[in-house]
Formats: sequence, C-alpha cells, structure tokens
Amino acid sequence: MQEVVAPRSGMATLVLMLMGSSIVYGVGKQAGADTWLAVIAAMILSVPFILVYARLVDLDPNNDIFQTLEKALGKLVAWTAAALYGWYALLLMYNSVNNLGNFIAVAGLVETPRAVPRLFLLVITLAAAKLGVEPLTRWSTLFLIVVVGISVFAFALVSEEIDYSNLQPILYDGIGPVAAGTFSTMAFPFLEAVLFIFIGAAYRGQGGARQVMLWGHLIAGATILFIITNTLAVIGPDVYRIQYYPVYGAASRIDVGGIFTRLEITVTFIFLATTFVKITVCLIAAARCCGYLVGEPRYTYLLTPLALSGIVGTFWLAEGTLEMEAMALQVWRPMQLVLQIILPVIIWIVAEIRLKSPKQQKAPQS
Amino acid sequence: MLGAAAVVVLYVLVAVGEVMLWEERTLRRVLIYSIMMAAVCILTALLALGIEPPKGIVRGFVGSLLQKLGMGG
Repeated sequence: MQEVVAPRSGMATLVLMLMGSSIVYGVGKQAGADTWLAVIAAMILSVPFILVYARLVDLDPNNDIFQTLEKALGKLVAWTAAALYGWYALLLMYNSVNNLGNFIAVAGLVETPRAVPRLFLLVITLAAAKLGVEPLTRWSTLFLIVVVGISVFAFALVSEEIDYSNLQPILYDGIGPVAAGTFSTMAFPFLEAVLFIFIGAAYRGQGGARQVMLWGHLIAGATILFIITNTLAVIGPDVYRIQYYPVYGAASRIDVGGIFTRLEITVTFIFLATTFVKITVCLIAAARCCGYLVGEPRYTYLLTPLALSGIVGTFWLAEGTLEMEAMALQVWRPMQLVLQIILPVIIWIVAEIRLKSPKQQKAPQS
Repeated sequence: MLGAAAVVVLYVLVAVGEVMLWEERTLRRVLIYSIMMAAVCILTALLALGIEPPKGIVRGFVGSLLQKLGMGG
C-alpha cells in the first residue's frame, strides 16, 4: 500500500528528519574550525547515494520498494533487506528517543524519571504514525516553516555574539580532520535518508522520488550548514568539539538588553519537532519492514508493539550520554557503512541489471 | 514487583483495547500482534524488575567481531 504525497511535503519531511538530533548534537566535530567545510563536502559527497536511494524508489513507481526488490532480486534478498533495514530503523528510533531523553534530563528535567519523556514521545509518534505518511508530511510542511523561522530568529538575536574569525585559519590541521568530519557527517545525518525508501510514499508530479530526495537533502544540508556554522562562530571550535549540545550552548548566550534571555528554549523546540519527525519516519519504516517479514500488508497494525518496544530499547541501548558516544564509535559507524552505502549500491546495480533484462520485462505481461 | 505487575496489566489493556477497535480481525493478524505485544510486555516487565540483558557482553562481542572484520571504530 503506497500513500501519495505532494513533493513539497515529502521534501519538508526529509528536511526535518535529517535535522533531527544533528542540529543539537552538532555534526563533524572532528573537523574543528573546518566543520563548515566538512558539512559542505558531506553534502556534496552524499548526493550520489541520495540519487541511488531515489532511483530505488523510482525503479517501479507503481509498487512499493519490497515488491520492487522481490521482482528484481528474489524473495530471499527482499526478505533479508527488510530484516536489516527494519532492525536499523528500530535502532535509529531507539537512538533518537534516547538522545532526546538524555537531552531533556541534561537540559532541565533532571529529577524526572527517565521513562517519562521517552514514553510521552513514543506515544505521540505512535499516534502520528497511525495516521499515516500523508498527514505527517503535511504537518512537516507547516513545521518546516516554523523551524526555519525560529532558527533565523535565534540567529538574529545571537548575531552580536557571532565572530567569524572562529572559523579561521582554514585547514590549519590539514585535510585529515576535515575528511573524518565529512565521513561522520555523511553517515549522520545525511545518509540516514536511506530509511526514506521504506516509508512507502509515492510522489505526485514528474520528478518522483529523485526530486523529493535530492531537494530535501540539499535544503536540509543548507539549513544544517547555516546552524552549525553560526554555532561554531559563536562558541568557537574548541567548545564546539567538547560540548554535547553545542547549538544549545550557543543559543544560551542570547541576551538582548537583559530582556530576551534563556532563549535556548528555541533549540529545545526545534529538537523536539525534528526528532518527532525522525522517530515517526523510523517507526513507519520499521513497521513496514516488519509487516513485509510477517506477511502483513497493513503496517499500522504493527505500530503499537514496535513503538512500545522503544521504552525497553532505549534503556537497553545505552545508559547515558557517554555510553551513547562510545556506542556511536564502536557499533554505529560500521553498521552505517553497510546499510547506507554498500548494500543500497549493490541492490541498485543488481536491480537495474535484472529489471532491464528481457526476461524480467516480459514477466508482467505473461 | 508492583511495577512489573502494573506493566503487564497496562499492556494487556492496551492490546485488548486496540484489537477491539480494529475493523478487520483475522486470526493471523491477531496472533502476530499478540506475539509481538507479549514479547514487548515481558521485556518491559523484566526492565521494571531491574533485570537487564548482559548488553556489555553482546556489545563487546559485536565490537570485537567488527574489529576482526576490519570495520571496527
């Protein structure tokens, strides 16, 4: 079952999804003062992979990705891909919920039991996922404007703290840290767009998924670049590197005549809105993969157990912010390399060859 | 113990309530849903009891496996 959405709405959803977590945690910290360069490089280097993801959706626009995979690669490969990406979507969902839970605990609600914010977030995302992809994308269209508006507003207020000399000297430590920052920024957040393949959306108009994913990626990249560069200019590369929530730190410096202060709430709001979209997309992707695995065509029936598994999943994933960082280095990087780059490219090449073979082209007519 | 019992009761209520709200109830669908909910319920109840899986062992295993494959961080 595919849900038809407007390209603009699809783009807005992808933008908010890619912004989820990344704008608060910061990206490409390894690059230090050259983080802005790393973000630009990551944005450009991610484009071929984004086009591969879009092509996988566009291979057969009348069918969803699982039917396409089944037709091109056989049932076993389609089943394996569903298992792997379903697992990845669930892990990413737990990770995002955990990020938000830790952020809330660190930023303000220190005494609140850890389960409470997580449970609230999961229930809200469950409700959103149950409504389907289409309402989520329309919501995203509206909230993208709000999020960008708030970012610009915060930028205007923090502008007197901005010191662009913090971005200099360029490439002082050589190309190595920039390369490390580039690859980490590609994996988180840009290539997390791989899960967008599995949400089962079909797009109106001529451009198809390519238009939606490419423009969504570029807009998200530009927004992340804007926020991260200004954060770096406000707090400097050394603080940016060591702070867990650098954007929050930058926004906390806003002080306009002693009246406008404590405006880090704007960052909290952006974090909530973007993480909500990210978690909902992950939940839908996980439910669709899981639905394919168990032979259930309506993924909405599987949403509740998968969402509730988030309560356990977030606790078992990592205990706190430090453990999250350790896990990101140990487990996430290799997993992301396989699921975001190697597997989609292999699937795409094989699917292109198989779907263009005369035998496969004859199959639907017979 | 009370927390775990509360979790079980809550999950059963949610599961029964949701299934009753479905428009189409096939045996297969109800069975899949029940199995998934039961698994999540047991895991959450264990968590409420303070029993966690040996994740350090699992993560250590996965980490060293990835390092052996030359992919570890």
